[in-house]
Order: sequence, then C-alpha cells, then structure tokens
Amino acid sequence: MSRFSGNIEREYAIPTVALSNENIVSFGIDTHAKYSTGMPLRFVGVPYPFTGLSKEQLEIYVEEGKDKVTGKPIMQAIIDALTIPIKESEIPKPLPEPRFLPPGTEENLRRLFKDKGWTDYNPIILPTEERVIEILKGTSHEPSELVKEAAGTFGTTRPFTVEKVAIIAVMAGAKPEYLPTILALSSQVPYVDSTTSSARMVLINGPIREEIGVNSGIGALGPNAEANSVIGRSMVLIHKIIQGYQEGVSGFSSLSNPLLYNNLTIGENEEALPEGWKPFHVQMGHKPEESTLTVFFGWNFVNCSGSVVEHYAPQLLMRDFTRVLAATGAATLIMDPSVADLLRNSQGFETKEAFSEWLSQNAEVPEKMYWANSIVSGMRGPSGDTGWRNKSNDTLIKHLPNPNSIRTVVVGGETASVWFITDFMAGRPVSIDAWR
Amino acid sequence: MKGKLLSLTCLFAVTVLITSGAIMTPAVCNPAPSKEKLITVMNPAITEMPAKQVSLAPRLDTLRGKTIYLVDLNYEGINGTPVMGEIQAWFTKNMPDVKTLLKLKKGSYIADDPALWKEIADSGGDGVILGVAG
Repeated sequence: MSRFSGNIEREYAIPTVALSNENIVSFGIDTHAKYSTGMPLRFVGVPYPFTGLSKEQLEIYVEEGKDKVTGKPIMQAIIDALTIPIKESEIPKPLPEPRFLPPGTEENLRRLFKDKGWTDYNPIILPTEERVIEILKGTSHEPSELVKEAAGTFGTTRPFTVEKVAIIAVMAGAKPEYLPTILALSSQVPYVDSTTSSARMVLINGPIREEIGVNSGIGALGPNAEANSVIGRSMVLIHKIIQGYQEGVSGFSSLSNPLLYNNLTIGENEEALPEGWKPFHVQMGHKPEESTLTVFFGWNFVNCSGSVVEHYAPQLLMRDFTRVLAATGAATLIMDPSVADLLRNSQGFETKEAFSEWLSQNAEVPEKMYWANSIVSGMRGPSGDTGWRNKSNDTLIKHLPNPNSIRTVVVGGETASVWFITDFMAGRPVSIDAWR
Repeated sequence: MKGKLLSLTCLFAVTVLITSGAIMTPAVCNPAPSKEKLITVMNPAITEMPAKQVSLAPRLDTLRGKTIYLVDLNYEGINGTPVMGEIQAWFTKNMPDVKTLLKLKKGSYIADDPALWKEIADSGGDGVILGVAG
C-alpha cells in the first residue's frame, strides 16, 4: 500500500491518502516512514477486520466512524490528509550503538536485555568480551567483517558484522564450532514475516552435522540436541536483534506460530537415505562433502499421527493430507528413513524426484477450496472475475503443479514410520564452509 | 525468624572474637550484602540507517471543484470492498462539488498498477484515496 502511495506522490505529485488497518498503520507512519520509504505518507486507520464488513456496516462507519490515527471522524481525516500541508518533519538521524553497554549488575543487565526485546525470554548468557573473543575462535573471519547491510524487515539498512553475530551466538549459548552455521544463518536475513501464522525451518546438510552434533536421527525434531536447540534459538535472536523484528512495532503476526521458538532446526539423515535418494543439498547442486544450511518458509505443519499402514500406501495419505496446505504450490515432506525405505522399495519411487512428480500429478483439491484460501486469492488471485467462482464444487485443480516445488527431507531414528507434511517453500542452500 | 537467626549469628561471632581476644569492644554486624559486582558486556544492537527522505506532493488547498480518485486495492483478489462506494456516496451527499471516480486496481493487492497511476495523472486527477488494506 505505501509503495503505491509513494509512487503516486513521487512520480505524479498527486496527494494521496491510504486507508489501512489500525494494527499496522502505526508502522506505516513511523518505522516504515523513517527507515524504508523515507516519506511521511498519509494514512487513515480503519478497524480490523474491515474487508468483510457488510455494505450497511460500512455506510454507518463512513458516517460515524473515527480514524484510528487521529481520532477524527473518518471523512474529516481523509479530507485533512489531502489538504493540510505537510509539516517540515524532522529528518531522523542514525543513533550509533556503542560497542559496549554501560556496566551493570547481572540482574540489571538481564532485565535490560529483556526490556530491549533482545531475548526469547529464556535466560541468556551475557556477552562479555571474553566470551565473545572465545566464540570468535570458531571462524577465520575478522570480527569487523560486514556480513550484510540490508538486514531489516523490508530490506531496510541495518549493517551488521561478524562480531555482532558472535555476540548473539554467545547469548544463545553457542559453542565456537557452531559459529560458522550461525553466520550462514545470519546471512539469510531478512527472514520472511507475515501477519498470518507463518513459520520457518532450518535444514543443515553435509559433514558439519556430525562435526558439531546436529541431530538428524532419533528425536531430531524435539528438544533433544544442543546444536539443534542453540542454532534454532540463534535464529530467534538474529530475527529480533539484527533484523529488528518487534511484535507490534515492526511486525504484526496475530497469532504467531509455536514453531518459531526453535525454527524447526534439523539435519537431514543423509546416512539413512535409501539407494538413489540424494541429500537435499546435493539435489540443489552442492557436493556431498559441502556443508550447507537452507531456510524454508511456510505455514502448515501437519502430523501423520500414526505409523504407515499396510492397507493404504503412504503416498496416498500424503496426497490426501496436501488438501489442508496453504495452497502456495509448494510442499515439503519430512519423513522418517523407514518411510523413505517403504516409498523406495515397496512403492517404487526410485528417487525423491520421482516421488515429487507423482505427488504433483495426483494431488488435487476442489477449485473453490483452492481459491478460498486468502494466501492464494490475495496474492495470486485473478484480476476481476475470470469465471472460476461459478464452477461447480466438484471441479478439481492440481494445486502442486510444479514438482520442483515439492521437497523431501529424510530425518529421524527409524523407531516409527511417521512423517509430517508441510507447505514450506525451500530457499537456496547457502554454504556453511564459507564461514569457517 | 530470619532476623532472629541473624542476631544469634552475630552474637555468636562477637562471642568467638571476644573469646579469641581479637577484639575487646562489641562488634557491629552489618547484615547488608556486599556491593554487587558490575559487569561490562558487549552491545548486540544494530544501528538502523534512516532512509533517504523524500518529500510528499503539495497538499490541495481544498477538495471543492477537484477530481478525487477512489482506488480499490483488490485486497482479497476478488471483489474489492464496497467501502469506496460508500465514500463516494458520502461525497455526493455532503460535498457534491467534489468529483469522485471509482477504480479497481489490477492484479493482486501486492501488485503495482503503474498504468492506473498514469491514467489518473493524465486525466487530471487531483487526489487519490487508496484502500483498503485489512
């Protein structure tokens, strides 16, 4: 919305006012204006939800409703936004952050870190210089090396160095040998956010898994390994501190998502892959001996509940379960090696790619159900009415049309033939070795 | 109870000291904890750089006699929202000398529509009301 307002104001010098929901309009007139658009765009705040209100409700609102920004009657606020001259707003200045914080007691510093929104509200390790120096032994990179500039949400400029990542790694409880992985993770900011309940997954491939003890076997998705736990937690702190994400200030996820506590940080059980099934990073063009990290993004994480049964092949249940995904056209299956073995040896899927191809051809949903998901209709919806709304409920659509958007990750300890299906979209694997 | 125990402890300490000959006068026991150690830690915060400031278009002196475009963002990708029609009805009723024109932006709500912005400019649009996100 602010992009459109900005384009009209900047390119055509036409005064513009945007109506936006009350929960995010504060972001538009403050943080976004200061650090992203650089324009003091005019907004009027409307209640949320707004788009579902009836014509009668809207009629009353236009007559009697108030702007959530100024408190003025809504129409007066709109008129004022187009007519009251812009005040010479003060140009925000960067506030340089000192390298050290003022000395404090442990209790006060812990409180400060929480008050600043720098923690996940579990206890952190305070980043003394000695601890930071120690953890920096885990990389050959200079502490002053710039990792990235455009680190903020919406790509705002928040330059950060190796030293900043090391500070965060200390806070999360990392060991020096985790630092290359955490640096690779930090290089992927800004992570995608949404007002919906989106989530992320971190997949680690290659020899680094064994070197630092990333769990890819029994209990890998649970709180059962230090490396998975600490690296996943580091992502939370990177998101908050480096990206500058603060719920209610620069981000507005209504329910958020419990997966964000650890960001599903796992290693692929490459050693347990069936013959012909390649590790994820090798599928994506890396050598087996390279260590990589991949960030996935999506919404749904559906548990198969019980083990695979004899009378209904696992791929059929997986196909059925795709119906509840967010219809982004992407799916990532997380399966125990025993399920991969069944798919390979009993069902004839000789490669991960063959399984993706089958699922792409066989996963279908009623077209009305497909478009009912606002992720699809809002972001990919046809312009105007293309006639799909008049189709029968029985019309089916292949909702995973691209097999390259269907990924399989094998992980687990072979104590049960279980799996999860998600709508996670895979990013590109990035090198961990480059940060050693 | 805690205070009583503390007093007994102090008394015991004084007794021991006197018995040992270390002091000859009654000692005062200070129950206050010693000053807590101060720690210096590194600062994790990042300096965010403000965006280059860009001026807005000059505001209108009045809406009377002007042409205002009401642009529906197509937020849900299907119908848009009837609120723009209600805003238009309000102008017709309360400020009939404001000319209002309704437009539906093409594409999804995140897709830009530069052709529409140009159309508004070329046709002499004086102001734009965009909505609604949410």
